[in-house]
Amino acid sequence: MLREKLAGQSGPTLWRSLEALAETPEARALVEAEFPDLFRPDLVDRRTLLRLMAASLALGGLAACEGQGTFGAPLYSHPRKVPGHVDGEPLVFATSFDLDGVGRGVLVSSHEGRPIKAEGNPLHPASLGASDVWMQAEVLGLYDPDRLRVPHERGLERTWADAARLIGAEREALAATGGRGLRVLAEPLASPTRHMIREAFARTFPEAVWHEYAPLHPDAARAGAVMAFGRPLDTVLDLARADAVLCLGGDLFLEAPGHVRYAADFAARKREPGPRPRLWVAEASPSVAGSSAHERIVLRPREIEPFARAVLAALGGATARDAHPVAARVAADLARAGARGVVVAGREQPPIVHALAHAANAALASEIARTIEPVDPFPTGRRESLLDLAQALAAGTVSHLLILGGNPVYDGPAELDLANLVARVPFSLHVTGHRNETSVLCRWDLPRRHVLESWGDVRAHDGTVGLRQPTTVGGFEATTPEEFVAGFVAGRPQDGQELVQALWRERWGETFDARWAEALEAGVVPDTAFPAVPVQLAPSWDPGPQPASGPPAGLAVTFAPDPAVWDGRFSNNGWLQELPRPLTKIVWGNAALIAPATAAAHGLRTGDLVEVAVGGRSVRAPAWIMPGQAADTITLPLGYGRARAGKLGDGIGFDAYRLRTAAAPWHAEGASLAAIGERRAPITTQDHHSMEGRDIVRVVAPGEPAAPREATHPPHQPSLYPEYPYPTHAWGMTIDLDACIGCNACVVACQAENNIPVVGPEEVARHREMHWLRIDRYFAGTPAEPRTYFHPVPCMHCEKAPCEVVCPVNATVHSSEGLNDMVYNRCIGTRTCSNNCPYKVRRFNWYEYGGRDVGTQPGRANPQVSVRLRGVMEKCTFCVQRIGAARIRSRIEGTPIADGEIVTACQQACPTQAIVFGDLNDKQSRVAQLKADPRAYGLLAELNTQPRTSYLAKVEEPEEGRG
Amino acid sequence: MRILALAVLAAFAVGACDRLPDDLEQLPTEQAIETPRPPIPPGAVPRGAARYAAALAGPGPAATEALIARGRERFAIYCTPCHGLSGRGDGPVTGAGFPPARSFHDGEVRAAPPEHIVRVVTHGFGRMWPLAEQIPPQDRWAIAHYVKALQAAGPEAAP
Repeated sequence: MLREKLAGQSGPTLWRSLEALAETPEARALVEAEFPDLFRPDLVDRRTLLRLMAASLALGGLAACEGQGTFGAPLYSHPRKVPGHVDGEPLVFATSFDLDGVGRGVLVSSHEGRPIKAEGNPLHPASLGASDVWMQAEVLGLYDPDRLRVPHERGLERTWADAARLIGAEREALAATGGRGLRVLAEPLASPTRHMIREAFARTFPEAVWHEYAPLHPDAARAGAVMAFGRPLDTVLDLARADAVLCLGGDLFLEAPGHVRYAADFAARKREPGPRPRLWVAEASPSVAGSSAHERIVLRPREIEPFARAVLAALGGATARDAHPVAARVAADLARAGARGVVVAGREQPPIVHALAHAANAALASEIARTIEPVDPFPTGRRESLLDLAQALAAGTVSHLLILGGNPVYDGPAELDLANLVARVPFSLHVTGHRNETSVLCRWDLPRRHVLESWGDVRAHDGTVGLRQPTTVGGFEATTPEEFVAGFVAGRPQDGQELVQALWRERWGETFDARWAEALEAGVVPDTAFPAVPVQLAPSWDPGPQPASGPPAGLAVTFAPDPAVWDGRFSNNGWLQELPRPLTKIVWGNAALIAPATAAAHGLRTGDLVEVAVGGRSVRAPAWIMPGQAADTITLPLGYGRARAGKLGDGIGFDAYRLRTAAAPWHAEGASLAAIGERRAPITTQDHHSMEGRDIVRVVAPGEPAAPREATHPPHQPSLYPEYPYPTHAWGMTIDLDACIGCNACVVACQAENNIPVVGPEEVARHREMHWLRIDRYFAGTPAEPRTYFHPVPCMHCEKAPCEVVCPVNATVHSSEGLNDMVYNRCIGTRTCSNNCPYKVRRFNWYEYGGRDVGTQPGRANPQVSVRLRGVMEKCTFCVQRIGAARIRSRIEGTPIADGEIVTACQQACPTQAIVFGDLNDKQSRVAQLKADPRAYGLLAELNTQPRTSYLAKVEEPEEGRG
Repeated sequence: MRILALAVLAAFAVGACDRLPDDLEQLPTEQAIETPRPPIPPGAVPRGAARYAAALAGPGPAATEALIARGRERFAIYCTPCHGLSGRGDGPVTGAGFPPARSFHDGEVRAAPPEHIVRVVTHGFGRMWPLAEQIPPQDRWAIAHYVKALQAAGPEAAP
């Protein structure tokens, strides 16, 4: 049917889903109904729903106190005041988060001792002020009501005093034997303090062994460096100068360590005048980086190594046999770029592909790839480390097992049966944020401090040390892995702050006091980035011939981090669960991604429950037909099917870890796929809020204006309504589609800033998601190899807003500075405005999603933004609270609001600076200049809404110009 | 409701009272107060701390005429209710039974450097509340220098 539809087409047509492309009656019905599930009360279970909402909305409230007199005292008594700080304004702390042990600098703003919002730290090399979904959502984790709050022994609550006594007794026995039978299993963390503590641990317990494991750790990258250079090294990219980039898998802009920086650098490079940089992405499953590629090369997982070999051979002047036809073109591009070309391999690629990438970079003498000492040195691969531990556990030589964070029972290799092994250890202990799958099998579970309550330090992908400081005092007593181990070593409790200070006092000596305060305020320790290590290919390096492989038997399975819940650690985070994944727009679950051709061969439709079997193991998953997926390849996102994540994360999706073995952690061949005759359609927003295929995403060739349509539809047509005067400011926004990579950071940032509730899976299924800013994803071309476009849509703040004129109670009005304001207290919920909005950006509170109905106050809510009631329309306000704050500052200080002073939440989060906000009255402002850019166009401008948000057309080289 | 009101009043009236009463947790949820947390965890350093400390560090800005004029204006706004226009501690609140503030013309206070006055404005002193929130650092220096000028003029000089 699809082919029939496509056969009759000419020219680029955008489509959101295969159903819409085929114009099935179901898809048509979805588009036509403004509120599609208005008359379907069958699913309503309001109480369940509200419980769910409450869980995601933080119950800070009347928690127990940490230490008498430090917590729970009235803020407004004298000792509580911060000198010079005006109550009601946020305090900003620089601190560091980490993802898989690699640091990311953030600035956390805190109101009345409550951290509310995280932004990137402009001084930190991994963020440069931008952020990603995980940095944004980390704050919500602090308020998770499912956090472990008291120590447990065999599931029974214990006091900390009991825990200290009982664990202390075990410690004394171990110290006497030098730690025989003691094992530690920690999460990797590139932290100098952690390293110091690990060394102290080894001195006190010489017989003990320290293991580390994280399911998504890029072990292969380091193994690849050993193959190529003879020693482990990390690679840092300088994409701001790159001319040609080839990515072999991975997702350079969403998943690679340092991805925020890389996305920022590459976007900056694209803005430079002159020839545009080329990005080639060879991958099996569509990724964010692949979507912004100059050309995406769809390869099965096993075809990536031959492709890399062919490119390397072509760079050396040779031609590989049976090389992929594109390989020669890619190699020619790279060769032309020379030192400004680079080849990058993703974390899921085997070591040989990483080594081939290093060899290609050596052949190019690439200045873009810089090798540095490993930021997180560890003697073995992390996966081998876990295998060693499993062996020891199976042999019964482990008497004491300390698990520091993580959740190995859930995310460890399937064949190890860690659940059984951990349960057999006589003394096991887990320092954990949640009582998860691993904790329940351990004898002791100790509550772990949230990162926003902890002290520490962590290195970024380039080695720069970021300090971590608490931004709030915990509501209950807890520990960090570092504090716990240091306490275990010393035999008495240790203070996290003193541990970090001890290390830096030793390094800085006399100058410690001044430097410490300075570094803590800045968030980064200056001049700690690792210098480049000049390397040469090891004499032993020889890629050898491509190992012969027989014709493939069956399908291939690849495992991928989920673009929202990552490896499962964010499963209980409502913002991330409800975040439409960049490519699939699936929420609250995962699905097995299969190519359209594979689906056709197996007679599958999206939503069919299939059994995926490989290596004698199988899982049941809903199928998702993914345009652009490699044929015969099933991509299984990890991080779902949790049994003990918490109220939000339990029991949704399927657990792909059950197929993942230590031998094939990323990709396994010989899989089978069978429909089992049931359906379980994943919840997706891909067809929600459709603008019905009008001229939405415009694509131009380099240097070409986006004007053609404006010629027939002038942006300022005559209107019956008078023009508004704007004597002071006229706020406006531009969104650069050429810069947007679809990473979703703006969506979560908007949710965090504007107190946007989480509505739960059932409500999203009824099109009731509340995101003020959505990112529409469009495909163009064939389902097998489509082009992908991302299109962020906030409120356009139309000059002639269709919503304003239809409101019967004047609840939505035009402000004197051009904003389309929403007056919540006037709104009576007729939803007429939404019906009349051509952009579908208005959202309605069908229930009291804010959670007042169940007696909870959202402790995390941003106090600068109203929490909306039930029955009220809401939408993007252009972050009016930030405009107000700037206006107040301007009046107090008597200086005008400078261009760039007001930054909306979405703009601040954006790694690629695709979003620019400012005053249109100021002709020198960035936004005014961008509006004058030939690429600028108004969305649906032909309706004469005169939107204040303009888009800048996506730039693509014409098809024939490629290569 | 009355219990809550009393509890809250008690907490505010007695600055030293550091804990809300225990029976607060018995109140229905819609009346519960969200317990505030200390704004800065011990040892943490927020952004702007160094700049703020530098703005308060001695010797401060030079006592120019313009600065003293500004100090005089700010003093009239923030200080006179208690300290009085002349600085003798005879502001209008004393007429309402509030204990008088110490006179600026006492020997010990006369000898205090401007840094001391800035510190008192910042952190409060005895019964005096900190005014750091209302008065930015530059104005604190202005007030300090104005107070020194007031002292130099003597207690009987008309302000």
